[in-house]
This record gives sequence, structure tokens and C-alpha cells, in this order.
Amino acid sequence: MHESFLKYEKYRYLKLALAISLLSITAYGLHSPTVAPNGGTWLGYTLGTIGAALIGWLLWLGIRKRQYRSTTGTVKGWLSGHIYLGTALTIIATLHTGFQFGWNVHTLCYVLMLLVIFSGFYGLYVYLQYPDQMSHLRKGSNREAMLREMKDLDDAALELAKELGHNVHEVILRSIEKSRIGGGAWQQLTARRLGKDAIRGIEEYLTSYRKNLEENTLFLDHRVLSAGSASAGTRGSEATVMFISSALKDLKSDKFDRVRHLLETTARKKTLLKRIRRDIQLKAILQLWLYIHVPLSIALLASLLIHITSVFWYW
Amino acid sequence: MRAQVNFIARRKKGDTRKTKEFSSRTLRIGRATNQEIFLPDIRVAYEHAQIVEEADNAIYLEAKALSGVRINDEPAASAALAPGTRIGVGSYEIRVREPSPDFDLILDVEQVQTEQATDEALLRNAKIDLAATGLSKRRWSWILFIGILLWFFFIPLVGSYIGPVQKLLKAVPGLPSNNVWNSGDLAPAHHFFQNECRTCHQTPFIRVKNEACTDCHRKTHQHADTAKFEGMENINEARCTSCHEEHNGSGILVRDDTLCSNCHSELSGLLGKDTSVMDVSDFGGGHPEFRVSIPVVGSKSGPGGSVDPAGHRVRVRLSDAKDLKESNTLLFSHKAHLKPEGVRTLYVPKNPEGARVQEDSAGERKILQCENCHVPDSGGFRMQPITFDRFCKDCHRLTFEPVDKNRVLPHGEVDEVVFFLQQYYKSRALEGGFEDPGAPDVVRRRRPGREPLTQQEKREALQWAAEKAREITDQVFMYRSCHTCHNVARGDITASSWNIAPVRIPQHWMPMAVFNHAKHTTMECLDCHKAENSENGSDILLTSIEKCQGCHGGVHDRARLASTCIDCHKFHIGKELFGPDTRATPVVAVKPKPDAGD
Repeated sequence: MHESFLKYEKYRYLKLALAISLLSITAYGLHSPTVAPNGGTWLGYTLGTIGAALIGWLLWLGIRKRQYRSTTGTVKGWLSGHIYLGTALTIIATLHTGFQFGWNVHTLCYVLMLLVIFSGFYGLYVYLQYPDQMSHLRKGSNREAMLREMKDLDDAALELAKELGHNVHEVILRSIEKSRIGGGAWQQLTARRLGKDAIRGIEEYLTSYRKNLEENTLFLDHRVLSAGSASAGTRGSEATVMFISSALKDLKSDKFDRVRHLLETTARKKTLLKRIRRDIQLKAILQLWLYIHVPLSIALLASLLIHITSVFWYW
Repeated sequence: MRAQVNFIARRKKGDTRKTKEFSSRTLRIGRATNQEIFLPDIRVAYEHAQIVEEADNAIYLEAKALSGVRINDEPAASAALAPGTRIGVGSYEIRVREPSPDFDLILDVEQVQTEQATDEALLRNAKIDLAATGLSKRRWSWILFIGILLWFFFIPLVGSYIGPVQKLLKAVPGLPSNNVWNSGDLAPAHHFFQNECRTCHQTPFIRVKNEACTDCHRKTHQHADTAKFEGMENINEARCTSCHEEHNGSGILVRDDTLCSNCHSELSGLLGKDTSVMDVSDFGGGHPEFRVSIPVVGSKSGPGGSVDPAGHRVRVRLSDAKDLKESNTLLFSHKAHLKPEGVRTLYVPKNPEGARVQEDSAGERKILQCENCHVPDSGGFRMQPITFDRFCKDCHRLTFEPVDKNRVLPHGEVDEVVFFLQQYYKSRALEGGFEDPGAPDVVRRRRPGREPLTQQEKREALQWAAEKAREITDQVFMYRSCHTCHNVARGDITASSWNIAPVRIPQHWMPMAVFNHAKHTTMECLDCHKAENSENGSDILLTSIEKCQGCHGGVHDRARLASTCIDCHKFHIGKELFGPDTRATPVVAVKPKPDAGD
């Protein structure tokens, strides 16, 4: 998809943008106003008019993309032009300034324009990068399915835990309650809670499970237990889980079978949670630039209106 | 604590409500059947939470399960309960209602999420999308749009119409006055009114009018006489600001050659073939030979060339050798003054007819340099006027009486000289002791006691004095002092009348141009002014344009100094284009008595 809008109609808009840019640069090079180059020479007015018209057209994309019935070109074509002509605008507007900048509304307009364009570049970058990563992450699934899967895992874990006494149930319940996904913009973007709660849930589960083990020692060989403890100290909790899990597997107890299932469920949930959070993060990044691009472009519109009005007010 | 708990179940056929009443210090919430508030949901712990009345009658909720509860949708471990508080436990919601006189605590308990609803809520309510976080493109767009319009347009606008507001806006740093609309610095000369936008921008949306400029620049003239060149719209209708673009910082406001050459490269086409103004395109190659302005003096029989309408001066091209003669009548030889061996410094006449001899300071010679007589003015542009008293009299002493060599004539008016000589000889005759061979005895005799003369003696002495004065005056004017340098014509001798041809040394040979001597000090004077071989005072010692073009090229010249039109010419010459040049004194009348006797 992304290739097609950049290559739209054999780079039609790239060619157009290059032509406009080169024409502007050539005109600027040949133009030799006797005062410092500025927006008030004939070339300045020309470039300014082209620039303002371009900004108007670029802004119109926000409207055009919602007009599903419109037949003025395809949205893909508009987007292609939006990107290339928006890039050309940096050159046209810079030449329009004549490299004169100051603490005024005119330079504000220019700076806002650059911010909008560069946020657009960032948007283009994430659109080229992230959808691939997301589909790779989702592995053919989608977010709704992942969330449902998580819900199913939660329900299954609770169902398993219910039979293992209310301590275990409570630990699982807490883990479910705490392992929230999403949240505020910052949490979505940083995926800050990634995995921590799940790990803590498992650790707490292990603690509680050990207590259970101690209470039910008749099922368990002391040596197996001590070996498990030793390895927990050196190779990390996950290894411990694996070790204990495999140790328990042999015990063929119905209860321990449940525990094993519960552990597996929790491990799956942990992985799933990570994926969902990363998915949310990627989606948030994919969306975030628009939260900058759009309001700034409206701010640009305001400052452009003031720029034009004030210039002709004080003609 | 007396409590009423309403268990509400919503069904399609109508809601059912089951009410239980309790009277105890605690109410327990959980999945265990012994709990007062029994919630059969797998996501609820056996003993999930309890509601406790504290000593101060306040009612609190404490979570006993590690997973805690949700108070008003936020996770919490405990909370004070007040009417309206919503407690979420698993799929249940417990709402606290207003207490009644009978009950301290009234709770509604309802399972708000069915299995299916839970799924949907999970998908719908979870904040897994930026749009759900309260970030809003629309809101920020509006805030920025309105904020920028307010700050950068409406506030400055109000300020520019309401004086006190403007004062405040300009006084407090950071507040937006209409300075935010200022597109760039003014030229330094305009800085003193840079906060007064309306000095120039008098009417909104109307371009700055010329009157805004000429309010101050009253003496700036049009480029050419608008009546005479009425067809030249691009000059006559040009606005000041089409050339003088402001708000471009401290740069100069003046345009360069393109504007000049646009018209001047084809003036014959614009003005007709008989125009005297020649086409000019570029100094490097498209500039005609210079024309010098020669003052028209005395009779009309001056050199040829185009005489200006006022008849003040005639303009002759330097290439026009035939007419290139100065109207100056001074008898002066640059060659004689610039002799390599120098000039003798003091002359005194031995006798009226005899040759001049060097009397004292024998052999003392002075080698004259140009700058001995041509002294730059303080601006360095031109030379100070040549005057006899300043530059000539040290060598050219105006002595007239051999027996009184310290006495010199005043240089100036004829009448003054005549009067001076009359008074001089009168005084000497009456004094006596004047050793002149032709004088009567009464004049030659010494009278130590200043004995008074008789009437007869007096008459005799004065008669001699008058004759002597007349004789010497004629000699001085016609053969000696004056005659050395001036053309003198004898008028009515009985009326003591001599006419000295007026001497005019132009201060400015090309008044339409500006030449700065100070910028050419790397050159020798003689490089341009070929004075060393000039024997005649009427020689014009100016150099051809070719000499200038050796160093100066056109605007785009890279091998030579690129020179623009306005390096030498002014644009705003207007009405004075062909009139007397009031910007400089073009002619210094050393003897300002041009037409006497003519």
C-alpha cells in the first residue's frame, strides 16, 4: 500500500514537486532585487501566492479524505500529492521569506509550516515502518481476537484457580485486575506496564504455591523441592517455573495437573499481554503524529490568515 | 449501622428486586455464601471486601482481596462511602444511595456486566486507542486556531486603535502589540518612528502613498520634470516605495542600475531622436563621453555645444576638441608653474618697462606641486576655490612703486585699486620726501618738522599726485600687475575705467555627476589632469571616460570595479535637471563683475 501512494502514477507528484522546486530556485537565483530579497518583490509575491495556494490545497486533504463520494481524483492520488507538494512547500516558502526571519507572526507562520511538514515526514516514516511490524506482531490475528484470547485465558485461569483454594484464586484475580492494558496516552506510547504485573503475578503465585506444597508434603519429594529452590536462586524465576512445572508433571495428581495448566495459562497470558501492549504502542505511535500534524496545521492556517491580512493591512 | 441492601436483577420481563436488611458493624462482600453481600461471580474472591462503620460513624470500604475493588471505576484498596459512590467488584456494581431515617446505609447491588457484555465492554472501554485517552485533534485545533487569532491578531488590532491598550502592550514584554506584524527592521534613519506604524501606513489595505514620504522628504524632487516628460509613466507614476522598499533591515533603500537603464538605454525611442540626452546602458561600455559644463561668460561668443535654457552654461563633450575651450580668461600656464626646476619665488619690478629681475633670494626656487594650489575641501570631494590672496600673492606680489617695495595693491575691485593709488600718492605727496625723479620739489623735499605747506605748494603736490596715480594705475592695469594674469581693456581713461575680463574657475565641471577626489588618492593628479604641458588658461584639463573605464566597469563587471549609475549620479534631480545647480556652487567668480562695460 505505502509503495503505491509514493509511486502513484509513476511518481507524477514527485515530478511536479521537483519541477516547482527547481523553477522556484532558478527564479530566486536569477532574481536580483536591489534591496535584500523579501516577500514583497514580484517574485516574493509570486512564491507567496503559490505557497498559500499549496497550503490551502494541502489542508483540503483533511476534507477530501472524508468525502467518500467525491470523484476529484482518488484519495491515494491526493495523498501522493500531499506528500510531494508538501515537501516542495518547504523550498517555496523558504525562498518566499528571502531568508529574513524575526520575532513576528510571519516567522511564526513559517515555523508552524515547517513543524507541520516535518511532523508529516515523521508520519510518513511511521506509516512506512509500523504497519509491517504490527502485522508481524499480530501473526495474522487482530487486536480484537487477541483481547478475546486474553479474556479467555483469564477466565480459564480463574476457573482453574477456583479449585485450588481461595488464596490461589485471589492471586490470579489480582493478577488479572492489575495487568491492565492500555491506559493514558503516555502508558500506551511507552507500554510502561509491559510484563511487570504478569511477572509479579506469577511470582506471587509461586510463593503461594510453595506454601501449598509445604502444606501437602506427602505428595512431594524433599530433594526435588530443594533442587527447585536452588535453581530459583541462580537461574531466575522462569527457570524455576519450568523446573517445578516439569517436576509436577510427573506427579500426575489432578490438583497438580490443574496447577500446571494454570502455569501454562499464565505464561501464555504473559506473552499475549506483551504482544497486545506492543501492538497498542505501535498503534499509538502510528496515530500520535496526526495529533500533532492536524492541530498544528490548523494553527498554521490561523497564522497564515494573519500573515496575509497584516501584510496587506499595512501594505 | 443499619443497612438495607437491594439486590437488583434486570430481566427482559422486568426487573426484580430482593431487599435484605442488616444491623451490624460490618458488611462483608464476597463469593462465599456466608457473606452478607453475596456476589456469585468467579472474578470475586470468597471474602473480597467489607464495609465497616468506624467510631466516628463514617462508613468505609476495605478490600480484603489483593485485587482490590473499583471505586467509581478507579482501582482502590479502601474508600470512604458517600451517596453516589459506585463500588465495582467483579461484574457487580454496588451503588451507595442517600441514607433514609431508617437506614444509615442503603446499597443497590446489580450485576452490570453479563458474560457477553463483559467482552464488549473490555473491547470498548479499555483505553487501547489514543482517541480514548482524551487527546483530541479537534479540541487542540480549535484551541490553537482561536489562540493564535487572539494573540497575534485581535489583541494587536485592539491595541492599534486604542491608545492606552497600545501603550500597555508595548510596555510589557511578551504582550503582543502590532510589532508582531512587523515584517522586518526599518532602515536606521526611520528608527525614530518605528513604533508609529501609521506614519506611513495611513489607510488599511491601501499601499503607502508618496505623501507619507514627502511629508518629511519635502525637498526630494522627481527624477525629471513631469510636465516636460509627461509620457514617462514609469517615472511619473512611480511610487516612492517601488524603489525604496522598507522593512528590509538596515540595508540601503535605493535600487541600482536596472531601473535607470530600463529607460536610459533607449531614451531616443522614448523622447524622440532630437533629444540631447544620450542613451546609456552601462558604465563599462554603454556610456557616452563626458560632457563638461562650461560657464557662459560675457559675450555670447563662447564655445559651441548645447547651451542650457537659462544660458548659464554650455555643455561640451570632451571628445569635441574644437569647442573644448574654457571661457575662463585668466592668463595662466600650468606648464610654467609646474616646471621641474621650480619657480622663482619673488619678483619685484625694477622699472615699469624693464624686464623683471630677481632681486633678493637669488637662486631660490620652489618646485610647485598641484596641492600647493589645489587643496581638497573638508569633505574631500572637490577642491577649495582658488583665490589670489590665498594662493598667488606670495609669489605674485602686487608691488607698484619701486621706491616703496613693501607696499602692495589690494586684489579685487578696479575702483578699489584706483582709489588706493590715488590715496597713496596723495598721501606721499603731502608728506614729502618722496624720492621720485619726476616729482616736483615739494614732493621730494623732506620736511622734518612737518612744516605746513602753503596753498600753492599743496595744489602743486596734489596735482602731481593725481597725475602720478593715473599713470601708475594705467601701468598697473595695462602693463604690469593685473596684466600679468588678466585680460584688461582700457575704458574711458578720464573716468579711470578699466575692464578686467571676468575669471570663472568652475568648481564642478560635471554638475550632473558626483566625483569624489578623496576616493582617488591612490592616483596622481597628473594621471587625469594633464597639466604639465598646458600653457593656456583656457585648456580643460579633464580626462576622457576611457581613463575612468580603465578601473571602473559596468554593474556586472568582474574584472574591474563594478560601478552603478548611482555611484556617480543622483536620481532625485527633478526640476533642477537643466536649471542652475543649487546643490553646489558651480562657478566661483574670482572677480564677480562679469558684464561691466559690455
